[in-house]
Amino acid sequence: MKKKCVAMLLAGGQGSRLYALTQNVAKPSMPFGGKYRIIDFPLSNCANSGIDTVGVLTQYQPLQLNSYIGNGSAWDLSSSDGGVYILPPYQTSGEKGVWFKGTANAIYQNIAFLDLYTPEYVLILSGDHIYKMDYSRMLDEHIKNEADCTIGVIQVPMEDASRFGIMSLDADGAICKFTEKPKQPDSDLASMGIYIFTWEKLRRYLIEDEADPTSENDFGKNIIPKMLNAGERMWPYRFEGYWRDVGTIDSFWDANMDMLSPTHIDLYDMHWPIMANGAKLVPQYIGDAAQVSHSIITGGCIVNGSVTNSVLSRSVQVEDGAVVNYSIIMPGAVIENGAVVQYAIVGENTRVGAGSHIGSEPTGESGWGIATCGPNIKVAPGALVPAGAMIYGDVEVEK
Amino acid sequence: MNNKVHGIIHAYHGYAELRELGSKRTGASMPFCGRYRLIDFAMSSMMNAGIHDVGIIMQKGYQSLLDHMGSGRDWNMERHTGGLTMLPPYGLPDATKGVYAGCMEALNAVRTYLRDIRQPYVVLARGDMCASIDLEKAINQHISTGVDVTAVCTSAPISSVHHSYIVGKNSIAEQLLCLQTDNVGVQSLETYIMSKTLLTELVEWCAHRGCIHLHRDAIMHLMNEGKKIGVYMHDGYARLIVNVNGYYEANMDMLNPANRDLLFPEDRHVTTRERINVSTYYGDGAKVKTSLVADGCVVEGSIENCVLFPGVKLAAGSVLKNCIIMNDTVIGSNVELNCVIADKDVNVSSYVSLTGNSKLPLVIPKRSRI
Repeated sequence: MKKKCVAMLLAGGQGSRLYALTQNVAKPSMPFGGKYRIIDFPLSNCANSGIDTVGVLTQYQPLQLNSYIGNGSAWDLSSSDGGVYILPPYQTSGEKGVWFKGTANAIYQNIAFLDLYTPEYVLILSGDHIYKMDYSRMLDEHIKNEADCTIGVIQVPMEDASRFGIMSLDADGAICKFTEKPKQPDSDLASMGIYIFTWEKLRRYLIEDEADPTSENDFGKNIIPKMLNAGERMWPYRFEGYWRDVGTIDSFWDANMDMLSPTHIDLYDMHWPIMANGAKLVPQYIGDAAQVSHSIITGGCIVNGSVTNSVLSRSVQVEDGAVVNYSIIMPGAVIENGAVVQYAIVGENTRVGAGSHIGSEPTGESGWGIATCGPNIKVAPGALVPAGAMIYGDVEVEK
Repeated sequence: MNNKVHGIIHAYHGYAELRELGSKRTGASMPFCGRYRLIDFAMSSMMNAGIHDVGIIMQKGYQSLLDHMGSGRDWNMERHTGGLTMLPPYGLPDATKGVYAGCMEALNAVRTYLRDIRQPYVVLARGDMCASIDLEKAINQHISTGVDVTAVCTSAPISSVHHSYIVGKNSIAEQLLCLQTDNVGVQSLETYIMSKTLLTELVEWCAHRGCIHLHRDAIMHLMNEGKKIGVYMHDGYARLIVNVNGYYEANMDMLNPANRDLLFPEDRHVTTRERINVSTYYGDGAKVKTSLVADGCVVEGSIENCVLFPGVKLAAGSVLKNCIIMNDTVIGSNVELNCVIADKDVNVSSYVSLTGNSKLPLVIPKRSRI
């Protein structure tokens, strides 16, 4: 079945910088912004952009992600001639199966999947960014420029540029130079990790790159530079709007806090809805003694304490006298009587015992940071988890 | 899994006493408790008992019901074989003038559908009954006791009771009481289990005699014939919603966690159509007390003892007390509402003040501009 454009979503990354939170789940299935998981953003963008065929490449801890995506109907991606396809690494006859070696290798290993659709264009996405974007406009530009590759770019502050893949443009506006994380950046145009390739072209480069034993099989490090060197038509697509990489504890916390200010990204704008695979939840109940302000709260929550400047995912309980401030509380977590949670991230189904303290207000000292409790942890009553601490695994935090 | 039972939900009841709330929807499609519609309780009870084939008998004003039910996917009833069937009026005798006066008449109107039911048992339920009945237990009791009919009843007094039973030994009904005003016996929740064969016989028996009522005609006939009517006791929240006061009180009941736990049992989810995909935002100046708030709201003002449906927007400086505000209603700043039920898509301008009474809540009709 021929498709104009198929999206391939790279969701296999471990998210190692989110350590405590991604021990048992892939980063794209991390809860975000109350109702969502990170992968809802690219999946919803696909659905809203009219892209109905999406391959999701999974590798690291995929189980929760697989069950969350289901048949894709939550994003209206379960049509009879398209859909969401989970693509794990697989074994082929006569060879040993291999893990995805790099982003480009992940697509290479799924050339057979793409060949099923013989698409004209392939959209490559990653599963760790928060943004609303119309990919159809990017595709229009790609076609208009007769490009072989179009890269989504965003302007970043010069001092941050060395964290990104940075591009320089020639007089016509085409990309003439691409450097992954340059020490001395000469431009502030950063790659968003969103690529559209003309499939025929990309297919050839993937096969060539695979044959190169020195290659890391990575889009940013190998494929893009090779295409540039060969003189292929490479164009930027400038995105102006909210876009955040949520790969670290600090950026994850910051981006969640951004959701409290509608100037950043309007989740309530139903013209471009971000969709989620919702659970069956009773409406949230805010009790007699509760205080709630400047916060996002989700179905199934029961709040009897104080919640300010915070983001609560579904089915969180905040008991009497508990205080949650500038924190992110993930699904099913319980904050018991009188516990104080400040500048913290509390993982799924973690129980914060009565009277315990998690995190603290910024002190200005160098050791200060967001306190992070991973999922399924029991924090004993009266225990203290200091600012900047990171707790995970099968542990109980004692007093 | 339960492949032995077929569900029939009566969703044709409408009530003048629901005033403007019921003018464009049946009782079964009344919005309830922040995100549900009343029919979700009957649907979920059936779903949780593993029933996959359900027919819904409709009659008038069923646009909102059709919209809500869709393909039945939310209740796992979108199936290649069987599944959800919406039954609008057809084959209706002229004499009824398009109004089902009784349950048996409604069933007679869909008799060709009943004839084709694949399962040996049928459970009949009302779409406007606010109760999470454990139908699996009721069905098991019906089958294991070998009675002819099982009536689901409650001992708690429910308002607007229709009929009741005096129960003798072995949970067998001894007497059927119609239109009792005092609470004698156990109240019927108008949920019945019987074999498909018996149901089709009853429908025919009633049709031949011009009888239209299930309890007064059909069940009474069975009891006179010496058939066994078993009683299954439901011990949770139950309420039949037929007027504005009952509607208001039932919603306010849900602000009490104990009632909520009874109506939304942990092991038997109540499922509704999924629609809203964003959490609720509370602004800097929000004050919230004893309220149920659905997802997708933006609350900048103050609410106390309120039930908010998805997509409600409340501007800063406004104070809502004892109110039910339905989907996508927008309330401006410095508004004061007390004991008000605002239907969907209402727009209340800033500085408006409206007060009802808990015994006579003020109803703002759908799409009003105030």
